[in-house]
Amino acid sequence: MDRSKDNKGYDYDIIVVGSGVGGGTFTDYVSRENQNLKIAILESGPYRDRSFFNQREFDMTSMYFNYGAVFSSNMHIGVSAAKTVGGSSSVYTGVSFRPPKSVIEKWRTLYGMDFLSDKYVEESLSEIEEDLNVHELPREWDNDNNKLFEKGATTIGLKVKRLKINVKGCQQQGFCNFGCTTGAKQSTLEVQLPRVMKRGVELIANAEVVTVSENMVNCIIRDAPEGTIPNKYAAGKHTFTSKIIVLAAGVLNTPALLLRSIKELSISKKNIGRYITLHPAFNINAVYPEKIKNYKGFPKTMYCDDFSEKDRFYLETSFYHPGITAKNNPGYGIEHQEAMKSFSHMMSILILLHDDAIASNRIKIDSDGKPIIDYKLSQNLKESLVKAIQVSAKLFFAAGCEKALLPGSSKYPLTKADSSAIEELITSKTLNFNRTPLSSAHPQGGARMGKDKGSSVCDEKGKVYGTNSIYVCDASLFPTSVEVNPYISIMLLAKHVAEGIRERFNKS
Amino acid sequence: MYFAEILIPDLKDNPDESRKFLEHFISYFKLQDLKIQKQLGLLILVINYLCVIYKGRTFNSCSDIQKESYVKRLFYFPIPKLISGVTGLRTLCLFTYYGHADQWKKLKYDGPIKR
Repeated sequence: MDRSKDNKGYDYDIIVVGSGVGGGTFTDYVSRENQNLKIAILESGPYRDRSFFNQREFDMTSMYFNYGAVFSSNMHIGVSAAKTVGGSSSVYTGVSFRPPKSVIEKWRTLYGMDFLSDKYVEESLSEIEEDLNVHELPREWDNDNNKLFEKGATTIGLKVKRLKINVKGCQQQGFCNFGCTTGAKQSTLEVQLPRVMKRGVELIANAEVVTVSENMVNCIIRDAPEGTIPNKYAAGKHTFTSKIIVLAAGVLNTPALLLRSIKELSISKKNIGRYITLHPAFNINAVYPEKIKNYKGFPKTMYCDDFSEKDRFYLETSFYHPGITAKNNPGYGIEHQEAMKSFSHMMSILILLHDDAIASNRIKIDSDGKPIIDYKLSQNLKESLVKAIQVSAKLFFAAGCEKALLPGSSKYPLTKADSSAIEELITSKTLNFNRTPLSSAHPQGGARMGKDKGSSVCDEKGKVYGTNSIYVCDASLFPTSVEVNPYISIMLLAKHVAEGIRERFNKS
Repeated sequence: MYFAEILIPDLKDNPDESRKFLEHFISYFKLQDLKIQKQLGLLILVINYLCVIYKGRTFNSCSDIQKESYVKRLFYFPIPKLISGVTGLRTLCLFTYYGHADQWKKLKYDGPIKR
């Protein structure tokens, strides 16, 4: 059927809204043994294949919502969310943490997610990791940045662990965040989506879903931007019908879509959008006498979780290119400019904070139905961040840095002579979030899963309470922060939601 | 532009770099959500308005020393929203300047592998 001019009559068994880790993994699992199901994925972003990824920092902002400029309403935290086929998996580094056992235990006992038995979790994660080639990278791949991290950390008595990454045939170009040009990163774009399209699943890009109602999706298809894969459908308003609708549009957009649809769905908005966590991140740099080339080789191979339980943070190695580095380094003027000229001598650490799920931290919508992020960093989180900057500063100096470029320090830059006074120089009084905003690449929650209907949005199968055909299948389901890079955990829940829906189809 | 020159002194008295920066800045600004564009426009008006109050003249007509002291004041202003806004403008300027290939040589950054 030629649908290029026809705006109505698309009938599906399942429509998935979003082609990222949640949507892609769900579709893969649900279509494995049900290849006769008629499935479509609607993705608001354009379809960019690897030929689009030109490794230019400025150009690649087009892969993100609002070109990377999405902020909480108080502007204390910037949120990076991808707007492209493959979602955030197209722009992440491939870090593949298993959800910590303590988090799984909490989800099971406090939120009634009983399906997460040790056996189910172990078997599912092993299967996912094998499928995506998740493994520790060889030590020869550690670039200078990673080596310095290890040297500094071990000198001050910290235990360094190796990250597991999902790559196959990686060329170590160091540009994972701008899309993998070789397809080595086992992202949704490279693994699940090609697989499901071979099974007949339809991928419709540039399709922004406006509202959903039972068995119906209203969306606007826009023209494909230049340089991206053209649309099959004409631009304009389209209505799709489907037996099941799975929302996997990410934490910014899944709750926003539900909030836009409360009238159509006749559901309460009480819990929708609430309890979001952002896994706030803070990137800091230090300058060394030797050349480092942080931006070459594989960017991340190590982390330290020594402070996870008590002080609520992780340290990971990281890398960023000049534009983001300039933003992350504190200050402005001559000092900032001179520091940037030492870019090729910079070592970088990423601080990731574990934030609590609080009802007042939430996604709202404005009068146009666009998401607003209401998020306040707590005093506890500030204390954690101060401690994390102090530890990182000690690590930098232990690894031989000349100067540390630290936001929140009363002296700038810190030199070796200051290394004995780090606790006095970096305090919660000197750290001001208005001047030093954090960032987030791992938003979670907003449509939390749980047995208690009074405090959750979705039941243990992922179905939105009060609806018959609407499911959620992305990080919005997390009842609390998973406290690590969330991709593998999203896949775990996506597999579970897919199994439930497969069972539903089998029964019917 | 004058605000950007305080943040990035290399832009000052460098018409070629200034022109390129402005082109990049405007193109990035235009890509932003309309709401953000409006907020930034309003922020620039407020910055100028406050400058008239505190310095007795518009930002553009201040001396270099006045501009520097005023920008410093903005980052410590008693209204948190204003500090956040100025910080946002700082991000936009720095990303626009350093996010482009024009600066790679200066930073000894080899740039992308894919040419």
